Amino acid sequence: MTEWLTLSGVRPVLLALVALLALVVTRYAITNFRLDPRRGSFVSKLAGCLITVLVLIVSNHIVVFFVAWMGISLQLHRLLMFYPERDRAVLAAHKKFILARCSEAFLGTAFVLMYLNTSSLQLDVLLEQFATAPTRITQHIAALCLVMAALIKCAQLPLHGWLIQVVEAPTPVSALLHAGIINLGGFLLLVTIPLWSDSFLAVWLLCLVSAASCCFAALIMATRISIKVRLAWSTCAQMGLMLLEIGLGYYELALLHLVAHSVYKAHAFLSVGEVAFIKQPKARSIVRVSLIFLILQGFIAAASWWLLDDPKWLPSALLAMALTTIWMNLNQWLLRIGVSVLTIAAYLILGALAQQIAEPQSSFNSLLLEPIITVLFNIFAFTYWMVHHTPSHRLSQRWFITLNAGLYLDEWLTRFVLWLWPSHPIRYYQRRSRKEGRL
Amino acid sequence: MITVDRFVSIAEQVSQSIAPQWPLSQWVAVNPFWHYRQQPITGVAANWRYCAGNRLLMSPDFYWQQWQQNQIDAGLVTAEMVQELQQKTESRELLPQWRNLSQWVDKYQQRRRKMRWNDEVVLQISQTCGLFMQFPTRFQQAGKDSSLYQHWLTISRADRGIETLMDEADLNDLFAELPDDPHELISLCQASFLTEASDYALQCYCQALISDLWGWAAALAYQDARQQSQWVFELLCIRLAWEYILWQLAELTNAAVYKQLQQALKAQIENCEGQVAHIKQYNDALWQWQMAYERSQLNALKFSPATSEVESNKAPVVQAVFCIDVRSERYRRALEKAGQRLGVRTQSKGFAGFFGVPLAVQSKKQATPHVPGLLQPAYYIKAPERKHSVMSLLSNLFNTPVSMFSGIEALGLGKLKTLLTGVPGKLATANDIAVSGRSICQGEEPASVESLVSLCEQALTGMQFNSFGNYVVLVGHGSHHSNNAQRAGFNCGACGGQSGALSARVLTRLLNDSDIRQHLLERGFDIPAGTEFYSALHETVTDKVMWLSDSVPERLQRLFNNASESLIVANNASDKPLKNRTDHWAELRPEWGLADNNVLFFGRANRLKSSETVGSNFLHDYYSERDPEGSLLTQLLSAPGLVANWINSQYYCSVTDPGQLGSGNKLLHNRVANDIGIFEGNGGDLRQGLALQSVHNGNDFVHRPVRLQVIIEAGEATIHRALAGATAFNELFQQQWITLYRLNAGGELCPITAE
Repeated sequence: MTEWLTLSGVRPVLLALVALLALVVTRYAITNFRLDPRRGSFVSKLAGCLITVLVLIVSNHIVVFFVAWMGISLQLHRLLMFYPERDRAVLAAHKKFILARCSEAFLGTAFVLMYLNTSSLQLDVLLEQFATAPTRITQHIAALCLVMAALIKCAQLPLHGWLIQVVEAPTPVSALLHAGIINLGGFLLLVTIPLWSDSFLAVWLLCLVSAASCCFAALIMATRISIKVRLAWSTCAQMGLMLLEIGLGYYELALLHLVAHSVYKAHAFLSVGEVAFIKQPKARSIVRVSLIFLILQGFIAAASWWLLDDPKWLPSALLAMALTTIWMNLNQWLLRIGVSVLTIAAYLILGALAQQIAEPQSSFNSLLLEPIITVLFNIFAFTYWMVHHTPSHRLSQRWFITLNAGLYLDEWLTRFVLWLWPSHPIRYYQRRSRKEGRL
Repeated sequence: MITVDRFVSIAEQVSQSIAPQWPLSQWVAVNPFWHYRQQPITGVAANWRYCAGNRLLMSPDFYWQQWQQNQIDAGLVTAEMVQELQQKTESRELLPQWRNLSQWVDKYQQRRRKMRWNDEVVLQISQTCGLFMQFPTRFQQAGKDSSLYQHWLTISRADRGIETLMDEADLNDLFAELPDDPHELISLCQASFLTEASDYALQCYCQALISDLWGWAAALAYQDARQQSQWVFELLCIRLAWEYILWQLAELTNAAVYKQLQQALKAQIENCEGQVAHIKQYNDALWQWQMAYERSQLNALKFSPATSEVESNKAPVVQAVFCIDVRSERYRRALEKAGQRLGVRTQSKGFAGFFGVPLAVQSKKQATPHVPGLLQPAYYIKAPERKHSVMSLLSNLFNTPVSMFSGIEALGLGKLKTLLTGVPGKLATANDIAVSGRSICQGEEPASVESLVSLCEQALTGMQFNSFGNYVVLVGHGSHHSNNAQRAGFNCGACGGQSGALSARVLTRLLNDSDIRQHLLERGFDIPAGTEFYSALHETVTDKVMWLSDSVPERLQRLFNNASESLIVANNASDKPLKNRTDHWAELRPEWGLADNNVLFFGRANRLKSSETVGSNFLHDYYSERDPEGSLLTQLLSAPGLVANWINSQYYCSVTDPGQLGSGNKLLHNRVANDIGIFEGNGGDLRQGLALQSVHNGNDFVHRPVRLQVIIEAGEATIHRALAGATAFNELFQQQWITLYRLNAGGELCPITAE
């Protein structure tokens, strides 16, 4: 039995999470498609996809794992193509299709290398053997492949465009994708930690790409005009953070992030019709904001150093950002302190809980990596405040427009995808042209 | 050759003819062709069909099917009509349509393996408009004087992405060379490719251009009307600028395409007038069928002859005044029957749902009007102070890029409960708003007793009370939906897309005031001391009535409960599924709303006998013998008459042209700029009109495409006198946007013909 199935590590939590999502999303879809003649077709595609995710999570056999990995993406493709008459839906689905195959190529290569090294097809055996008796160069290659597979799966920059554009699919698909399937990149890395965490190349690649994605996607998010696209950019950023936490060895935070973000994002997508106003930031003095932030950051890092003997640079910076926002949105001191204490308490308790679940594992240690990334996040926070709290400033305007254009990262890929795989066969165009009239 | 000024004035006129679209939180029905009401519907339909492919008629197949299913009265159809229709269904003729340069370029350039221009141009402009509306502090610093065109230029000149995406290296140079002044742009266009265009062709061209972004044009028209800006005109100029760019691009890079473009445009400019005439001629037969179809729908409506007996021999005990909304028709019948069952003499009345109280709720930032879209609120009432809620802080935490990371890790799991239960439905009962004589303000000051008395006087005159019963109930209506961006469209249209609760509460409060009653007595309204006014809210999904007044007598409650129960039984429904519909966040069709509305009746509701068509009629009480001058009728035609036309047109267009005048598939709806409107999916134009799910049940449309048929119980002379006073209504009538009938004493419908 253990040859095929495993429930080790983070798997029980993920299983519970996916089961919860499956319940919520399927129930939602059934009501959503009430009276729709294609309800059966939609729900069965959705269920197929969810079952494959469950298989992936519990599989211990790398062939099954790989087939499930591929199966999920193929079934998602059918959901994304639910309205094949919509050009932009098709374009996005094609883009996703091509990238998914790339991700599979990387994963397949990694698995083949591991098999050649250990002659085992069982994931747990393989992890043990590979970690203890590595051949250096193959290990690096396998680790890089794994990381690449995860980065592509999690739609990290610059291969993120499809994630934004697939909001052309019905709302339940978005919820499933953004709360469930997109996390699989993180899942892949969490269950294969020993395979890549010793390779400094893989870790640096993972951390730098995901940190950059996280910061830029978050900045771009704040320039979007429609709710679903905004949420999609937010997913891209959040996935970046999850991968970054994995890369830096904060496995428990990554697990917490995965679960909390899924719940939040599923809720956000499913309630997208409720007319809610996202407040635009007011013009403020950035000096004051930055000062509050720096003081809070220093304070948290110092406390953490004193109590835990580790400054925990990145979590300190992130927590300080959240507290700064709380600080600026509340006027009364009592409320500020109350809400801040509540947030910190929730963060610590949940973090400790996640630590119980995530097995302590060795992580790659670099004195440089985390401080560099923390500096990057500091720059990110100042940029955000500069752009949004001083809207009339010339620099702010220029940055805003550049960010709004998505940093021009996706255009080349779109062009390539269209060239490689036109949205519709010629016959379709002819039929449609005839329908449209004498064009 | 025409002058540039002429071109500008045509462009301005086309922009000013776009009907506004209200933001989602105040989303009311609009007649998209409101500004075309002075032209005959057949001409407008042919014109828009040519310019933008819009349909104001169903396809020949539809009429053929209705004919086959005996839905059209054979007496109204000639053999010639049948023959012509059959020939049209078989031939499937493709009607000609104007093409913009972007469409011609797509055709000639072979862009199968590239982004298509037309699609990308619409997306680019649409996104730019979105930025303009979503970030006013950044892009509208000059308020109403901010230029949309300038904004677009800034964005487009800075954007290096389109060049890459479209694979056209010269694009950015062309953007850089565009003139900064829209009028200059128009003269450039005129000189470069529209030198030979006639007035008519230019108008077609402008209509075709603006129709690509009709949704945004409508949203901007709403802003323009409120602040005298010119944003729709600027939007048209932006669209024109893209045409100019594509023209130049072809000239610079591709001689073959350029030549084809020249030829195509020339032929189009020469032929357009003839093409529209052709469509008009083609449509003639279909309009005959449409009229026959519409008239046939009235056959189900049966009226009883007028009775000579004076009604007031027994004064009713309960009088309930409902909004004229078609959904209250069902309830009114059920209530009157319940009255008979319980032995309570019950009379129901129909009156526009804001009960004549032109209110707005004033909060710190904005005023939310509770009046029909065409009126302005005259009274203000303060919104309840909103405390800093935890929810708004959470939303802020999760939506701010810097705080969303730790914020979600720490507090994201807080959404678990709502994820499992769903977002509960909302129904505005306005019970958090303090309503008293002093809280109603006119300008800054509390309204004077004098003006409040006049308000009550007008309302009572409009409701035409014969006598007052012991209990008078003012019933507003509201929709209890969850997670529905277009919820306001299902609320009370006469209350500006809000629920009718507040208006009912305010008028009740005023009419129960002894001081005001004293003043009313001086003006001839004798409300007996025993008469008490109550307010209630009709919840239109479950057909239940919520009481807004305190201490409602049990007798009254029993009567209304009885009515609600009988309705639920009559609809073969049971309580629970209906309740679920109000509260399920995935429900896309909580109710059919005003679907299938087609008749507006001014007269005695009890003369309408049929039960089959219940839920299709707007019923407004009108007693012509008490209005010899026809002045009340004039008011009715000008207010509820127009509101009904807007609602009816919205449904009509969403059925005849769901692709362009409806808002598409709700499963793909994507809110834009908080509450400005909706995209379908990721891009394209802002959408207007109703979603497919609101008019279609998966198999068929649930709304019959019938232009509003207005039936008036009054003498012919009175009607003509009233028509002469109600200008806008008369225009709609003369140009056949609505049809008009007179109900005679014998219970027959006599058509009134336009001059």
